[in-house]
Amino acid sequence: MTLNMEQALQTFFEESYELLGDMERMLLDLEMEETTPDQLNALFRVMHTIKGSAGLFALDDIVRFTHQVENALDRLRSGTLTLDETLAGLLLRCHDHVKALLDALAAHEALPVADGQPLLAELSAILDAGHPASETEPPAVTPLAAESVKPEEAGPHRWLLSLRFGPDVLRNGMDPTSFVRYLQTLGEVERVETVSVNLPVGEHFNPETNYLRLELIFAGSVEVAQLWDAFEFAREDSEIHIWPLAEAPAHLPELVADLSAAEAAELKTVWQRMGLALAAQTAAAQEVQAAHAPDQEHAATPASEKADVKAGAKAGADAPSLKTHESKFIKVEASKLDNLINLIGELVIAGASANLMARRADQTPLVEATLVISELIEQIRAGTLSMRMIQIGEIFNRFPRVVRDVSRELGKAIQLNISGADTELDKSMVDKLGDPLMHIVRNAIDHGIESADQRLAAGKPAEGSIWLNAYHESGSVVIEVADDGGGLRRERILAKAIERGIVSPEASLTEQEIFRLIFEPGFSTAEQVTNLSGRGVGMDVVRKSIDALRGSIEIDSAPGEGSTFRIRLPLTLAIIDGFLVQNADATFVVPLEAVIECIELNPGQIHSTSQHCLNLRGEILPLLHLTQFFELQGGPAKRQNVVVVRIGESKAGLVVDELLGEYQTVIKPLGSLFRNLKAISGSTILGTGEVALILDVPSLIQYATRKETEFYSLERELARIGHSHSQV
Amino acid sequence: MTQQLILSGEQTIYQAADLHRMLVEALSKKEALEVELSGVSEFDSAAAQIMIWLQRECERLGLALALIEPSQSVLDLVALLGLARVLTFQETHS
Repeated sequence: MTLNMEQALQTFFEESYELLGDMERMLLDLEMEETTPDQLNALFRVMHTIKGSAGLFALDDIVRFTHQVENALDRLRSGTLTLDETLAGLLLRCHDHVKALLDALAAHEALPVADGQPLLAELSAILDAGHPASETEPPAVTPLAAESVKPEEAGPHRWLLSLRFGPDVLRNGMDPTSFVRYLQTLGEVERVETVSVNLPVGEHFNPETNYLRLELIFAGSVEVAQLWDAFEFAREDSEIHIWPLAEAPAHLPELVADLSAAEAAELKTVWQRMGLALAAQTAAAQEVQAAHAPDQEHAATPASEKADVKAGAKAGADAPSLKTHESKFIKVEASKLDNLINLIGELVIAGASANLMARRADQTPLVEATLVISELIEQIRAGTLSMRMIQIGEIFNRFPRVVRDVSRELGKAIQLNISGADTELDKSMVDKLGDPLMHIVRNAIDHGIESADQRLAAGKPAEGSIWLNAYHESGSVVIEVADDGGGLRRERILAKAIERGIVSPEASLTEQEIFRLIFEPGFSTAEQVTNLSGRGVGMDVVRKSIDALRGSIEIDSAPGEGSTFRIRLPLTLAIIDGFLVQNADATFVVPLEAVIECIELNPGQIHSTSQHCLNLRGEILPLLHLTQFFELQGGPAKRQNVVVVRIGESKAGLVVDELLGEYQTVIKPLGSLFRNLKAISGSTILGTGEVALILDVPSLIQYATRKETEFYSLERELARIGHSHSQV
Repeated sequence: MTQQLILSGEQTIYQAADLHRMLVEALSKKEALEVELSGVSEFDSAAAQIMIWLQRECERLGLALALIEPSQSVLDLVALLGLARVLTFQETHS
């Protein structure tokens, strides 16, 4: 397989997956509401396009299967078949099968063709029931055309090649005739015409410049990539177009758009002479294009010219949507983007370093110049990072199907509500988020939502609801999965955890801590183990996946009202805006998004007994002295500051010696040796070349809060015993 | 008066400039032209272009032109490129 072929296949995969995604969405929508002809048309087009593209690659197994599905969709479209729940389900399974075929193809495995047989049987049963005549071909096709559309026929494809060689091909030693000769070795050149209107008269004619344009019809059992390969050397300054013959007429307008009137007119005449149906007719045909118009790529004999027009028009309708798609997006290899981001990371560091030097040298113009550069780097950084951002809707979109399938299986009626699907998230995270989210949703359906009877008895609507929501909050992305089910039962969880020896019976745990127990390995509370969740694996994996993304997960739950799983993730993994602080001679970076404010620590409060918390405008703020926490050398500085940080609802104050200001930071992961360090999430290199540690704010807050609680409970305890608490 | 030109041997991109120059010269005499191609052993699209140009020039200048006795290699190329409509040969009067 040539490289070009590989690339073309890649495009085919991407396009097909996208189309399949559309199909799934449409089918699920169709189940909810009345069908419109537009939707049915769109459905038909999905299968039709996949079939057509698969045909280009000679993927006969895929063509065969999609052809039958296409038939069914065609009948739906023409109204001889109606979409009911069974059929929609069947189509969904067909969709799955096509996807499985593509997956296998992509993985270079044997195609699971046999799995499609039962589906095909079911399909033909439905088709036969709708039409006792048991004809698989749609009606109203000229017999000739029908004959040539048999999917089993992997015969030669016919192509139209429009070749406008560049003016220098002759001079470069390439003769257009050699291409035609080469094509003759690949298959049959059925027709060829030369368009020579560009050839000038008089002195303008240069005998060594090429003025000719060739239009040919080629038939051969070759792949399109092979044809393209033929023109490999001429491609640079030439205009080469290759279309399946049936699709070519639709491309005429775009082809002639750039040409002189004379050339355009000549081209049209030539095409007409070659038996291609052209624009005027095509437009009319588009109107006529009724419920029937199967793929007639191979049917361009004069007798079926009319049918050909339809096929051309239809292909034309498909083509523009693909085209606009192509021009709107550029597909870039992810690793290239990662390299770019790495480089920009280095640039950020280098820029910061230059700025620092300029400041040290006390050169105001230089400082200003470096500031401008920093600003630009900042913009590049933001732009590059946004390239990696994709909408979370990409994963959310899988869930309607999951919810549908799972709820059917369990016999629960469930409504899925999705909001915030346009929230953007780093691509690498989106990829890793699918599975954990899937598990939480399945868990919610399986364990969260009660059966209809239980729901009615509890005064709730019989239909359960699940909400998927995503939003940005203070520099992180929050994803919520909520249900209106029975909620987590605290006592049951605790009892189970004690039974399994996960916690000791004496432990006193907060509500959050109890809820978090469900993420422990080997924990499952469902009385009835289903094949969906409740296999005792999963929730611990969920937590691991989220941890790996530097995220956190929390649970809100009220008995009888439902639960909310809230996943909080950093926006990106590569670069953060940091706030630089200093304690003794160590520099730390606090992620800026977590910082709310900085205040000076009143000297009177230092060393006082209340050093573990601060009264911040009437609110108790637990404090954490970084110098002591990290056991740094050196006594406390004369003046100390408090950086107030917040994650979610909890706040804490970090006591630092010096505030150094904002700093853009490239996160360098710590070596695996330090993987388990709680308080540090990474490191970075400062402009001076020094290493600064990035503080893991969530765990610091957790620690500070726990310390505070411990302190007070200990204080109470000591007071009760009658001791002084000063030595704490 | 009719000028008679006989082309022979290779007529390809390598001879294109010379051929063109010769034809320009011939045209400058403002006489009817007869070009015999029976001896052409190789003929490529550059040569075909020149023949097309020659036809158009003669038409523009109001000169009669007859391309006669195409060799097999000329006919092959005409077929290969589908030039039959563009390049027209005349039956020889002999």
